[in-house]
Amino acid sequence: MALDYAKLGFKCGIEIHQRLASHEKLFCACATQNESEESDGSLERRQRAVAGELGAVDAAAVHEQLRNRKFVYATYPSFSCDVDEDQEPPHALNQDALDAALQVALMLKSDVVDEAQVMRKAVLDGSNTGGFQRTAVIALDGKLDTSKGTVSIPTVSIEEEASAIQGERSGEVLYRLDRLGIPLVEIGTAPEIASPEHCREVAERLGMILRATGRVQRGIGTIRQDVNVSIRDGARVEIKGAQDLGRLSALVENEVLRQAALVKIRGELEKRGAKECALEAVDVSRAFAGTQSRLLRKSLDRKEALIAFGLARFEGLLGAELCEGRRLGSELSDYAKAQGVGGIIHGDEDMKKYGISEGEVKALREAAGAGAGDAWVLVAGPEPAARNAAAAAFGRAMQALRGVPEETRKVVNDVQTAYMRPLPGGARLYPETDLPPVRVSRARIEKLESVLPEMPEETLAWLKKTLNSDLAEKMARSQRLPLFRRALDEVKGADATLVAATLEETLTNLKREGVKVELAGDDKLLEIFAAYFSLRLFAKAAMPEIIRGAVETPGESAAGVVERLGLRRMTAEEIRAAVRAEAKETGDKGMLLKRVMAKHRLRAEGAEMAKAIDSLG
Amino acid sequence: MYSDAVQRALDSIEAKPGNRVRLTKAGKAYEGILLPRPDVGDEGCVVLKLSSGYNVGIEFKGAKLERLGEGAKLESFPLGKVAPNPGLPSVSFVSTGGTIASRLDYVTGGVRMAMTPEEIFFAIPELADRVNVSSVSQLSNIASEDMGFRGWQSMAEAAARELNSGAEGVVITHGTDTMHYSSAALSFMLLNLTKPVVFVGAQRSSDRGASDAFMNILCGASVAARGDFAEVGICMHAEPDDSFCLFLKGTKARKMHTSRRDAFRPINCKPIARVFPDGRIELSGGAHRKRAQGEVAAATRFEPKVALVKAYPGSLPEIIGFYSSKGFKGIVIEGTGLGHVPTQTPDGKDSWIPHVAEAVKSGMVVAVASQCIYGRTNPFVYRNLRLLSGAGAVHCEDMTPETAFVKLGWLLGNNPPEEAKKMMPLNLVGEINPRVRHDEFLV
Repeated sequence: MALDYAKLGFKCGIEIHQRLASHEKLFCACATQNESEESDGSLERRQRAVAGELGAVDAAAVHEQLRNRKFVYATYPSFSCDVDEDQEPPHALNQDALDAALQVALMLKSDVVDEAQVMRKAVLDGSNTGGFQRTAVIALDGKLDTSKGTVSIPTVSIEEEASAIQGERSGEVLYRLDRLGIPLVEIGTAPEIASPEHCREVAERLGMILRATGRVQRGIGTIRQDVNVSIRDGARVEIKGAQDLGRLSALVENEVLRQAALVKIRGELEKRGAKECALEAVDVSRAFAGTQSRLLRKSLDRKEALIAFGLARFEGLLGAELCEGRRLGSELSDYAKAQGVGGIIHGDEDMKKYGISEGEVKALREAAGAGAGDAWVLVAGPEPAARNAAAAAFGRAMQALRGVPEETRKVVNDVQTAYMRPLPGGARLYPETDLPPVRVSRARIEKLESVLPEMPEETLAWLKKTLNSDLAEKMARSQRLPLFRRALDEVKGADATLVAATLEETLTNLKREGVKVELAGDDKLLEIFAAYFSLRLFAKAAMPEIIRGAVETPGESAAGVVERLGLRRMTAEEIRAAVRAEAKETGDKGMLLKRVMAKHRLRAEGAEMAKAIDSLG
Repeated sequence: MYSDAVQRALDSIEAKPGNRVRLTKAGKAYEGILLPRPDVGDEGCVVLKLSSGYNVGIEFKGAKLERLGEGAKLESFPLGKVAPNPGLPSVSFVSTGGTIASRLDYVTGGVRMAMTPEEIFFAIPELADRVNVSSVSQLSNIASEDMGFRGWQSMAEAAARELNSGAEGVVITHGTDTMHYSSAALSFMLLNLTKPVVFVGAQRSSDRGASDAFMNILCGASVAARGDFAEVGICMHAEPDDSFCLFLKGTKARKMHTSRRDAFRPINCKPIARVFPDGRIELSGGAHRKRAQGEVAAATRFEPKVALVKAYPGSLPEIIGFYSSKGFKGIVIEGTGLGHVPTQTPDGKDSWIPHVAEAVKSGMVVAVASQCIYGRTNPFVYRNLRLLSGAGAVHCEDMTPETAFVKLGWLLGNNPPEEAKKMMPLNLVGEINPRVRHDEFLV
C-alpha cells in the first residue's frame, strides 16, 4: 500500500555523521586508524547530571543519571591517551580535520562561520568520558539538490566520535576508548524530506558528496544516519544510528506506520472513554506461588518481585500491531527494559507461551483490579527495578492517551525501532571552556574553494565515458571510488572496466563467500592491479584467487601470493606445450579449447589459448 | 570585550548580552542570543547562541544589528537545598575557589571561579543523607595560584571557629595547584587540633557531569563527619577511576600531575586512609593523630618574607643576596639530590656557599629541601653537603620543599630566627617521617 506522505503531514530530516580520514583524533594526537589492537587496561567512572549554560538541567541527562550506572572504559596503546580518559585537557582542534569538514560545507554551498566555538553537548550515557561530546558548528545555510527539489542544510558541524559500546552487565556499561575523539563531520538537513524513498536519496547523495572529498573514512560504521520523523498529530522521533542505506526507506516507512497506528489507538481509547489515572501497582507473587511458568518460577526462586497493574479500557490494544514486528506492548516493554528488567508480560499475549494458567490470570486480574475490557501488565524483577519498570511501562501506557511521545529511538532488526531515551531538550550545549574559539579566515576558505573536488554529477558523467552505464552508476555510489581513481592514475595499463568490475563485483562476491576483503587494504589492491596490468604476472581469471590469497597472508607481496598459489601466468611456450599435449586427446578445436581452458584457465587468458590452438594449423 | 565598532553598534540598539538579536550581512540573517565577547578570539566577531544551542561568531564588518527582544537570562545555576539534618554529624563547608567552584566564563572564554557551594551541592543530593551541613561559608573565590598567607590565615581562623562551635569536621574546597601549601599551612597553624580539617578540590570543573568534584566532596565530607582523625589533610581521587579517594596528611602530600584526577600523592609516607563514595573509611597505615576533645587554637602569624628557590646546573647564587637585600628572613633552597647546591664549579665561580654563609651571618634562616621530592636530605654524605651545612644551612629531613617553605614562614612568624632555625629539622606535626620504608615511594 503506497502511503500519501504529503497528506499524512510527513516531516523528515536527516543527520549524517561521517568519520573524517585524518591521521590524528580531533583533540589529541592519538591515531585514528581503527586497526585491531589489544586493550591494555580499563578505567571506571560515574557521571552526574549538571546544570547547563542557561541553568536548566536537561531531562534526558537526568534520565541517564537516574540509571546510576558505572562506566568502564577499555584503553588502547595507540588509540587512547589521557585526553580520551578525560585526564588531560583537549589539545587544539585538529586543523586538518577542520579543513576536510570545511570542504564538505563548501560542497554543500554553506556559509562558513567566521568564528567557530567548540561546544560541549551533554551526553550522560557514558559514551564520552567527559560527560559531553565536543562539537562546533562550522557552516550555516547550505543546500542539496535532489530529484524532489532543494533540501536545506541548516548546519554543518565538526565533532568528536563517541566511544563504542561493547556491552552491558549488571549496572555497568562497557565502552572502548579507541573510537572516542575520531573527527566526524555532521550534516543536518531541514525537515524537508518528502518521503521515505526521498530520505534514502538524500542520505545517498550526501554520502556521495562526502566520499567525493576523498577525506572521509570508509568501511562499516564510518557513516551513520540519524533520522527525525513525524506525521501530523504524531510527534518528533529521532531514530539513532541507521547504517544500512538500502533499508533506510523501509525504516522510515515503519516509523510513519507506527506513529499513524499510535494516533489511531489514541482515537480508540478516547472512544472507549479511557482516562489518565495514577498507577496502582501490586505485588502478585502470591497468585503465582504454585506457578508452572518457568520464567516466573525462576523469578520467584530468586526472591524477585512480580508487580502487576491494570490498564482500564485498554483490552486488545497492547497486542495491536503498530508496524511489522512492533506492538503497543513492545513500546511498554522498552520502557520497562530501560529500568533494568527483562521486559513485560501483558494480557494480550498468548499465556501458553509463558505457561501461565487461566486461574493465575484470573487471580492477577483480581489483584490488579483489571476487569472486563481492561488490559493488564506484569513485570518480574528484583526490587526496586521491577517497581520502577512497572511505573515506566504504566507511564508509557498513559502516553498512549495523548498520542505519540517524543522519543529518541534506536534501530533494531535494520527496519524497526525501539525506545532508547526521551528526546533531549535544548539545554544540552555549553561552550568548551578548555578551547579558544577558532577563527576561520577568508583566505582559508578561498584556498579550499580553489581545490574543491568535483560534484557527484560530474563524477558520474566522467565515469560514464569509460564504463558502461550500470557499472558507472555503481562506481559513482561506491565507497571505493577514490581507489578506482588511484588505480587508473597509478597503475600502468589499467583497464577501467576490469578495475571497476573487480572493485564492485569481485570484491562483493568474495565478501559473500566470507572472505574478509577489507583486510586487503587499498595499497595491496593497487599492487595486485599492477601485478596484473603492468607486469602481467597472472591471468585475469585468477584475480579473485589472488585477492583471496592476499587476504590470507596480509604481509606477502602480490608476486609472492601468485607464486605461492602456483598461479604464475603461463608463457606462450608453456601454453603451446599445453595445447599440444591436449591435442593428442582430441582433434576437435572447440573441444580442445574447452579441455585446455578447463585445465589452465587460471593461468592463461582464453584469447592466448585460442590463439595457440589456431596456430596449431 | 567587543571591539569599539561592535560595542557602539550594540549600544546604539541597546542590546545587552542575553538579548535576542538579528545580524544581517550580505543578504543573510543570523538570529540568536547575544553572548558576551570572550577575551580570547576575534573581538570583531559577534557571538550568537543559535536556536540549536550552538555558539558561532560572525564578523561584524558590513553587518547590520537589530535587537529582537529580551531573550534568555544567562548564568544562573540552580541551587542545591541543603536542609539541616541534626541527626547526622555536623560538617562545616568553607569554600575558597578553584576548579571545584569553576564553570565556564564568558568574559575570559575559560574557566572561572563562580560556583557557590550551594550550586555544587545541586549535583550531590546524597550529601544530605551523609552529613548535616551545619554551615557554608565562602572566604574567597580565587584560583589557588592566587592564594597566599592571608588566605591561609583566614582559612585557619574559619576552621578553628567552626570546630569550636560544634562541627565534627570542616571541609575546605580549594584550588588544587597550591592545595598542599594550604594544607601544610593549616597543619602548622591549627594548634591542639582535635578533629579533621579536609581539603577537597577538583581537577575537572563542577559544571561537568564527569567532574571529580562530586566524589571528592562526598568522601571529604565522610572524613570530616566520621573520620577518627585530628589531622589537616587532603581528600582527592586515589586512581583515574571513580573508585575511592585517599585521605593524605596535609604536610606530606603533593600535586604530582597537572591534570589527572589522582594527582595528589603521599610523599615519603603512606596515605592515612582510603575513603569510598559509599562512606566507608579504611585505614591505610599512614601516621595520624586521633580525634580528641578540646578547643582548637589558630596561631596564624606568618612571616611573608620567606622565599623558595631552586638550585640547578648553572644557577646563580646571587639570588640569595637579592632576597637578603629585600629584607627576607628566610629562604628554602630546593637543592639537587640529597640537598646540594653548586659548590665547586669547574671555573671556580658561582659557588653558592659564600652566599649562603653571608646570608646566614646576616640573620637569615637558610633551609634545604630536595627537588627529588622523594627521600631524605642529608648534610654529611658528600663533602659539598658538609660545606653547605657548614655555611649554616639547615637540611629539612624528608619534608617536601613546599612544606619546608610554609613551615619556615610559620616558624619565623611566631619565633625569633635562631629558634626557627632549630625547629626546622624537628618534627612538629608529623611533617617529618623519621622512618621511611620501601613501600612509601611512588605511592
